[in-house]
Amino acid sequence: MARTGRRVLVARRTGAATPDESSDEQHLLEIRAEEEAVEAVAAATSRLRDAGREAVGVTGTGEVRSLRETFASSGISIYPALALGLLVAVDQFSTQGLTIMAPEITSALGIDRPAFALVLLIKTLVVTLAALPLAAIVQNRPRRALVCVATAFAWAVVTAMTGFVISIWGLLLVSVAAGIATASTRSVHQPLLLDFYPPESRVRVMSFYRAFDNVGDIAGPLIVGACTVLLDRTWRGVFVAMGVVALFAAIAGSRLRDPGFGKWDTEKVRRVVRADVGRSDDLAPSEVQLGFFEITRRLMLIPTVRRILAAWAVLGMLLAPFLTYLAFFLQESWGMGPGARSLFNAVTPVFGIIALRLFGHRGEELFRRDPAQLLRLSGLLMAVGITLIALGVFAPVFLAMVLMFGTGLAVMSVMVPAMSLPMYSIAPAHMRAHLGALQGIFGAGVGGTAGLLLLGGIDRRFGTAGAILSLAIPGIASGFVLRGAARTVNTDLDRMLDTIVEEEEVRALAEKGVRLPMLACRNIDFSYGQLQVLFGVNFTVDDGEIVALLGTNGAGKSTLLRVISGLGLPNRGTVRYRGADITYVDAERRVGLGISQIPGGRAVFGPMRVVDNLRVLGYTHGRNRKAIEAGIEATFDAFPRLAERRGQFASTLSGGEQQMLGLATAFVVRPRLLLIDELSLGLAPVVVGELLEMVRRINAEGTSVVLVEQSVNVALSVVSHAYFMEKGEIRFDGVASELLERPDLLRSVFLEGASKGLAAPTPNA
Amino acid sequence: MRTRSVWRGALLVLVIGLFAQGCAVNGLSFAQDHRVEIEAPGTNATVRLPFEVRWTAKDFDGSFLVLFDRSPMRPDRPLRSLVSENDPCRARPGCPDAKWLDDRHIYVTADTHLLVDDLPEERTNNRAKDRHELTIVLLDKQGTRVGESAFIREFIIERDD
Repeated sequence: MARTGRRVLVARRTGAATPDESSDEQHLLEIRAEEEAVEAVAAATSRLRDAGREAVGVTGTGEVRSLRETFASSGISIYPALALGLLVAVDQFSTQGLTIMAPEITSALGIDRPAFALVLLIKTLVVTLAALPLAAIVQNRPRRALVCVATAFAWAVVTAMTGFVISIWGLLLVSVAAGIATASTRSVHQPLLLDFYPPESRVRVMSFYRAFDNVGDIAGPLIVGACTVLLDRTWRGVFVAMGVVALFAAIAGSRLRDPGFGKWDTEKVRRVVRADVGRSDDLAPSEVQLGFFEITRRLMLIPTVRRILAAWAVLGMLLAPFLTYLAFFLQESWGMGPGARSLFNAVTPVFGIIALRLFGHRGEELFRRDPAQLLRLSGLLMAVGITLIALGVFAPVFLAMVLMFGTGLAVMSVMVPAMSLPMYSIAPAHMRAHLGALQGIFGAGVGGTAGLLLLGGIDRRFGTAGAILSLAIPGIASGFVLRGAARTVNTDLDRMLDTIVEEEEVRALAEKGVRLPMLACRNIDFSYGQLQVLFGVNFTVDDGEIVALLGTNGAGKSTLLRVISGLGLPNRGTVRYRGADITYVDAERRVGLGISQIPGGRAVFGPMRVVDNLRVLGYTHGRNRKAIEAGIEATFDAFPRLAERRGQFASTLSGGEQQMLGLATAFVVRPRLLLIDELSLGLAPVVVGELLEMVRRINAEGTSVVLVEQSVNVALSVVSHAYFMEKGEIRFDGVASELLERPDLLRSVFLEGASKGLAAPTPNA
Repeated sequence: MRTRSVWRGALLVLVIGLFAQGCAVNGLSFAQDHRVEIEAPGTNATVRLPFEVRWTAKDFDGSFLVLFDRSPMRPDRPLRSLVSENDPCRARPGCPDAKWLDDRHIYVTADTHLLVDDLPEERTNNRAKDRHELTIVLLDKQGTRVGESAFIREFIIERDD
């Protein structure tokens, strides 16, 4: 009786290492009970996933209530969107002032133009990169509103201070400070909006918020005009005025309070699950809380996120250089001076505001019906927008050119919420600030830089109009990328929901007193690049158990070990260890949590002495010197052969001794779970026997062991529980002796040999 | 904890020091200076070489520094500040001399007009317009820049391609 279906979350009690018939029968009964439980869990999970989709706003119906009704029923107001909108409207004042007033600033301060351009470039880089540390600040504690307000006050003060600089150093300083402060709009604003408002209103709220960005594009030049023309102020006066306006916006936003992570979606899903399985609000263990880089890496493993970020890069490639080249185009083709160009730049955002107003309701319908539809629309919009801009280059009449460019840019404005919302929706709430930061890096950083390099060359050869026209190619390509994202978004949304559902189920089981297995891998998919090698693998190890993981060459055994030890991250599925999700926890941290892997081959540092091999692993484990030395001496007492060679370089040991040294590290590190890859590879039977004895001793001291072996007779001599893998799938999971009754699995040459060997009463090698 | 507080304090002092170094509150111009009005060329006007730069001045009896497509020196700095540190001119007494200035299309004059014979092209291709920027700043009798006022005008040169 083998199990190949969905693997259990519930633990099984396995016997000791020595197989025995009565314990096998008991084991089988337990396995059958588990299978029934698994089916029930699968049905419940499917039902909960549907409830979860509804909780995150994907109802499948496309029905949309008015914002007024939604706000009234949810007890929320327009204030958070308005406050954040005001902040995003003023966040670019500093950059706008520096750009528009560049000639006056450089002349007044006597700054070289290249030096001034460098300051602007540094500022852009700071805005892009500072979004990441800001995301790290808010990743564990919901203090995004505080960060928003604090940075808003900071940039208001810094913008005003720009009016008091007297040198390029002063200018650089205020630019960097403004860049750091305004980076919060990139990483924090949109995740915060998502947590302020329920899913059924998000497209409209994000469109509303985005419209304020356009308002800022209009307001900046207007303030410059008003200060210089009407109030007769210099650039210094302009910055002071902008700082005061920004200060009012910061004061207006000062009542913002963080609603907490995932109030309307991920937490709501948890509530649905809790209601279903009846449990309390225990927190996840802080030991496995993901760090900054772990979160970033985890996000980049989501296919839809990768595709949307790629589309962002292309959008950045279009928009960043386009705005520069647009100025040259207007000057060259339409003879527009700085004043006329400023007016043009102040008028075109109006198209965006209108487009966002028209889009909100329709976008909401699409998202609620199916997020994929919103992404497909984004792809279409990208193509339409870029086509309009390309046509604008050839417009014979001025008004037609304004209409083409205005509408094209308006379509691009709409794309921001249309692309962002599906992306944010498939990420856990506390990781969304990182997504915002990545969006900025891919858009302005990667895309913007690539666009400038690309367009620079094309401009020299074909002129400014040719450069703008050439943007159509990446624009249309990006449309296809977004359509690709539409194909994966629902799967990724379900995966995110499944993770939350599973987490809550596990907590519920733990609370009910159900004993959880030490290690539970569930539905693991893993790929090396485009080559998928693991397919929905379920794998469980209990406390104190020795499990054999068998299979043919290339079956995925070592890859599964890599996923467990953290050396490889799965594309799908979860790895739970002692009840906590460690799927994306770094390998180094897993060592601290008690998981150690002895890789295949010779797992030693050849140029180091035997004693140093043991010592270095002890330090890796972060233990104090005395404890390490005591562990080493205990190891040498247990293995006199190693003690004799303590001063020898590891590379001079025999193969068996090297493997012994690798295993001995377990005595120093003392892991809870030891993963051994290919213990017997290339070793004489007598040596293998000694090593197996070591494995038994390690296990007897309380360490669970996963033994990856190609040799069935070696593996089954020490285990009672075995898994068999073939072509990346678990084909057998059950009592070790039953594996011998499966000729369909034992057909491989080496296993046939092993099978014959095991027919003998003593299975030892 | 105490060490962290010390570091934070030190960082705060450093930041305040840097801001104090790069910013000031006295001697800054917040209101526009109208002592000089550029009459020709007009804003975004198209001229052909040679062309005349003409301006009016009031309440000022020093000289004028006229530059094309480059920034002037910092306020309260002499003409010598225009010369970079590694320029051989620096080693000569009286640097920058008239030739050095002429070569770079920089003019010092007490008059309120100037005839410009030539300017290097600024455009990157023949389809673009050859845009230039003229800047006038005020000098005292020793050739030191007076205040941070700068009078700027953009214009286009039409050339025979």
